[in-house]
Amino acid sequence: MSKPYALLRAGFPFYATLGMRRVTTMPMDLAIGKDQTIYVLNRMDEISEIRKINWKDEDLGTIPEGGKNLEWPVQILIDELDHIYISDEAKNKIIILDTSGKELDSWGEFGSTNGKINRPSGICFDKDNNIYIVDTYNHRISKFTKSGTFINSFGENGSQKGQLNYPWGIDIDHNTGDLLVSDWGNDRIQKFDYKGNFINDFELNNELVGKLDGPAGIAVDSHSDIFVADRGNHRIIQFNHKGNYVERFIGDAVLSKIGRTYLMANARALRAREMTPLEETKRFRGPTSVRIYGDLMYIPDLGSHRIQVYKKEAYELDETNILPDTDIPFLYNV
Amino acid sequence: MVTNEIKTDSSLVAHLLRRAGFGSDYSQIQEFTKKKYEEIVEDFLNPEIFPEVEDKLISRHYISLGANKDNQATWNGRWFYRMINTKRPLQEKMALFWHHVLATGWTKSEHTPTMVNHIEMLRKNGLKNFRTILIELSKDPAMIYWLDNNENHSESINENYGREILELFSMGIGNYTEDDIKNAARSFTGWTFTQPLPLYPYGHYESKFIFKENDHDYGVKKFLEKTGPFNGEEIIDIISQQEATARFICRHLYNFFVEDEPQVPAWSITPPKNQFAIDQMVKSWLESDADLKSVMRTLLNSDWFKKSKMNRVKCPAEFIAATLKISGEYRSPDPGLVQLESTCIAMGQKLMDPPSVEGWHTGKEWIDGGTLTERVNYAIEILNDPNKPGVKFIINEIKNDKESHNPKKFVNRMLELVGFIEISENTKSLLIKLAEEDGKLSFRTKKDQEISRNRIMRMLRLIISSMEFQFS
Repeated sequence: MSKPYALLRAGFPFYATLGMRRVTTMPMDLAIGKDQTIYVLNRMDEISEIRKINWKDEDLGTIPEGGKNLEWPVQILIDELDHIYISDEAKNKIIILDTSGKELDSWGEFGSTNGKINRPSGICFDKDNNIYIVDTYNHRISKFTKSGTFINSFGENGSQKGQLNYPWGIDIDHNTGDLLVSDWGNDRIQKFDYKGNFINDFELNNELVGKLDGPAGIAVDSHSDIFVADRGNHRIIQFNHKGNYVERFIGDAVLSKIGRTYLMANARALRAREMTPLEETKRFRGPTSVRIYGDLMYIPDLGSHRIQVYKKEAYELDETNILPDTDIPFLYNV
Repeated sequence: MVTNEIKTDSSLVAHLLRRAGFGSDYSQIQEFTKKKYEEIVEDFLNPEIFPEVEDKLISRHYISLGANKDNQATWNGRWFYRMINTKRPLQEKMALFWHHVLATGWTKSEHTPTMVNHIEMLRKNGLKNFRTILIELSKDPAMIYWLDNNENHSESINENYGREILELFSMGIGNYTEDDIKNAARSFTGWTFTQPLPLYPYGHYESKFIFKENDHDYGVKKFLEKTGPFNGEEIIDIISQQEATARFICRHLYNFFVEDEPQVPAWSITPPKNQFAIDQMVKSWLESDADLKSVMRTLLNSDWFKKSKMNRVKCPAEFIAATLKISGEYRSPDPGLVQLESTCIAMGQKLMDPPSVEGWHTGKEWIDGGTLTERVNYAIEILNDPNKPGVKFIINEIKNDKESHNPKKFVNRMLELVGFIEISENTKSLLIKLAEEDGKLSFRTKKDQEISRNRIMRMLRLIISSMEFQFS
């Protein structure tokens, strides 16, 4: 996919549920490796781990030693070398592992001056393979090389345009190079250019779906659509590239394969499930992240210990298919 | 107009904050001295005028808090965070009080969401009318399962809740008959809860109270000399109006807030330590129709409360929270809160999981060789660090107050800075003797500063290791 002139959005149906408690226990974030292994970052308040699963919903175990150095990991990325990058907001570090769990590097120093960080959360790579870090308690975004050399930073604490209040998630729109930041404390999304110049901000202000409440992870797909983990409202919100609301996802989980296997062997759990309305069990609980890989949207459903996946169905349009872009509404009769 | 005039003695403020809250740091005590004592009490009795502890930031770092109620240790960590940071200290203290009296535990159900909601129910209702508290308790899924009311059916009663609501939650043994128990149980038939989903595969879900009309005994019951087709709420009405209930709960309040009493099983044969105090509280109870706020107002404003300093053994939760208030830690949600649950267990108290329906045994029963060692070691571990914000504050206060460099004043000032701790004359004279052996504190040279800082740290260690530090 690449950013087309416009889209016909055909649908975004639910696609799959993966994992269960004890495998994907409190999944905070995920990343997919070269061999399509899904690396799930499990953060369980006291201990953390990176768990591997696949599309067959098999538990491939934890990365050996991979959790040993993690305290409060927030996000996980995998680069083109299959190196795993993790932000850890307790250690104030970026930790780099290979897929066997061997620590390749870690860097980051606590502080507030340039080049130092205080509670790093969201991370993303730019096209040059530099890494942007949401430096949460310094209310700014800092850019480093992958080996930890400081490049620059922008942002300050506040609620004015361009200011940040305990920001959380970050992703890059690879069509433009612009950065999208979840401004968690201000319940809005802000867009900056790659130098950190403010472009615009947008909130959710929709009569039907209300406002954002503590936006956490954020992802931008190749159509420049923006997906935000609206954590306090237990849902994912989709915006288009202009920041206009498109759709919400509240969770549609079915039983994962591994969940079915567990239940079929547990008579007591089966009975309890039979005595209970199931509507509520489909919904997200406190998601902290959303990730896009191709046309699939992955949501680590933190409170329900599973991954929910949706599939985007959209037709790319060019200038011959659709009227020119406008923000002026019109009425018509066909 | 804001003034710096002292309106309440610091020592009395510290006492109030220890008992009606979880201790305080020195600065907080000084802030409260600007108000009249009765005004502070009114603030505590009206928690709703102060903001709640903010949950958004702690839920961001203790990530499960914003997503599920699976992890008990995390929710207990959150409770400690509230004890330390609340602007509504009495609300939090009442929750702990009722958790002890209306003891409901996790062990039987192992269902954390119902226990989390149970504590929240106690927090929300702790200063309301006793009738409200008992009704909410009787509708609480954690309590219903704990005392088997989900198995109390119109055709086949289970007496467990009917018995305990009378014996341990209201009137105390000797004030009702076996028939009263049976008829109370009949009135609570059909009070049950919705089936929650199990922990696996996707985590716990909550349970809610439901009333099953077709499982309720609508027949006539005779209860405490009254007769009618009583339901649970009507039974609670009758219970709340009994003087025996007032006497029993007021004695619990006295035991928790004023002075250690013997353990509950001895109450039917051992008179209260202060009958006058109990009578005063009972009068408030009866005049206010069982309004806890009125009873607590009487208690906290009484002379016998004001004179009751340092004669109650802190329970482990109080001890931990008070120590952390002195150290200045956890003013923001830093790593480590989850471990406080196991620290508290090592001292003999697991929050959300009292040992039985009788609650915890209190007073000197908190202390044995093992738990005392845990307490002293914990206080030393937490406070023996000059870089902790609270300890740094103490060092700077001593350094900047030249009068405190004199050995005797040094000891007195240290006692103030750790929260106006009152110690015996014997303990104090030993501390002063030790301070005098090293002479005046000096901060002139770097070496002097290091020596004086070490002396301050040693004095701090000695104070927190003293017997008196175990008391509130």
